[in-house]
Amino acid sequence: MGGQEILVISSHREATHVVVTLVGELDMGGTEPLAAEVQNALSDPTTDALEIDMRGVSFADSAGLQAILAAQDTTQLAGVAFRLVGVSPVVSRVIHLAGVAHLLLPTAEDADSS
Amino acid sequence: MSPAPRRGMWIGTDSTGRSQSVAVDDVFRHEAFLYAGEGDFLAGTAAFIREAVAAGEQILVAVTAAKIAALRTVLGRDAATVQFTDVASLGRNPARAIPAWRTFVDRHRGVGRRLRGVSEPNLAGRDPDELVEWRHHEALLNEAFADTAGFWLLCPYDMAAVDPGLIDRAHDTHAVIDRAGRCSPSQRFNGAAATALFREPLPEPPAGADVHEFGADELGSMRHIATRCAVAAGLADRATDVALVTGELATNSVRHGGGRGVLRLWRQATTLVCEVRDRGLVVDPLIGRRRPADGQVGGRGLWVVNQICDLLQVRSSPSGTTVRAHISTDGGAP
Repeated sequence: MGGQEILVISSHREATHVVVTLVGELDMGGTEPLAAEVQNALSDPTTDALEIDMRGVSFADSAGLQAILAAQDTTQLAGVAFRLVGVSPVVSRVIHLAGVAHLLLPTAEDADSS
Repeated sequence: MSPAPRRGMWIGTDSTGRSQSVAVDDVFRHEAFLYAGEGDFLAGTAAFIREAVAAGEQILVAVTAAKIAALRTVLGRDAATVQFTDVASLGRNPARAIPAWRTFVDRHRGVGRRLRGVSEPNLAGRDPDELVEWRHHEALLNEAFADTAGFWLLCPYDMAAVDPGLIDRAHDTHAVIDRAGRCSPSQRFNGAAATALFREPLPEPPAGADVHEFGADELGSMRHIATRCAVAAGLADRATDVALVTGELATNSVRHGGGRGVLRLWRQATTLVCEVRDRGLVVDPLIGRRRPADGQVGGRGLWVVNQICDLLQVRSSPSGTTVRAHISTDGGAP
């Protein structure tokens, strides 16, 4: 794990599309900041797609995945499309072990192939 | 005497045939088959399997690859409808066995027929902690399938090869004991053995263990300490697993164990032991052995840990919770 211990969250908007970028290690500490970032993106009624970019995530545990699942739920309940991209093999393994691959990875695979 | 076998468990003691001697259809029948040598194993297990095949019952046989091959030879065409699983594919951690049986039971129950299983791990060369946890697993099966009527699980124990203490303990965890085809109810069977074991404290950690106190702000540093410790202990290729296990255990303490905990790390033969203690109380002895449901928020931590580590020991009582994960140089998730 050469990654940053502290998770850094940033987002940028391209028209109606928001990309939330995560860099560092995703654990329970990421739950509230990620929820706030997603809430902020969804507060703009023109937002019609939200993407979480995980390329910079060097580590994730089950609490971190829970934060992603919560972001996915919030986004989809708001009627906004959700995508997870840049899932590294180390994060993908945890997604499989936690039994949430069917919830999180179809989106990522679609995104990878596009 | 331990609690009597449950209602319907036992009818008469004079018959020698398994299928005639016991009514099983309203309870989970957990039976230890004590055998001596390969020939005994094959004869007893093949008879059990043939009864299932003849009755059109689903049967899953989880034994070593060598025993699967031998059973296939003995069974011939009768093997066609039998589901075999090489126990090695489940990995060393016995906590992965109950979810596998749960999957089998859930897939086939409800057709109005009995379900059968045969479960024999490869216990050769296992250390004392692994034997304790296998016994714990046997006790937990009674909790996990207490309400699964018609599930008959046969657990062969090789009297010539398995630790005599473990065979002795099988009388506590199995309601029925089968010796050379003669079944009798275990006089010592205790359906609540798992709860008692769960409350028993683990042996004290060694004095030389690395000790670190943590709270919510130290989760990352605990993972990094664990990573360095894994590398120093010669487990560089499992350093990510050690970090993940440590993070999951420490997160549980922060979320459910009073917000804080103590991490200890030590080397034990070819294993790195990662222990987390906190002041919380876990009431469910099956924690980490139930496959998480889709909509479930949280509760995946010990499940994930069980998929990674080679042995997990969980003990909890009102004085606190101790969780010990063993990660071996020669192990790994399947």
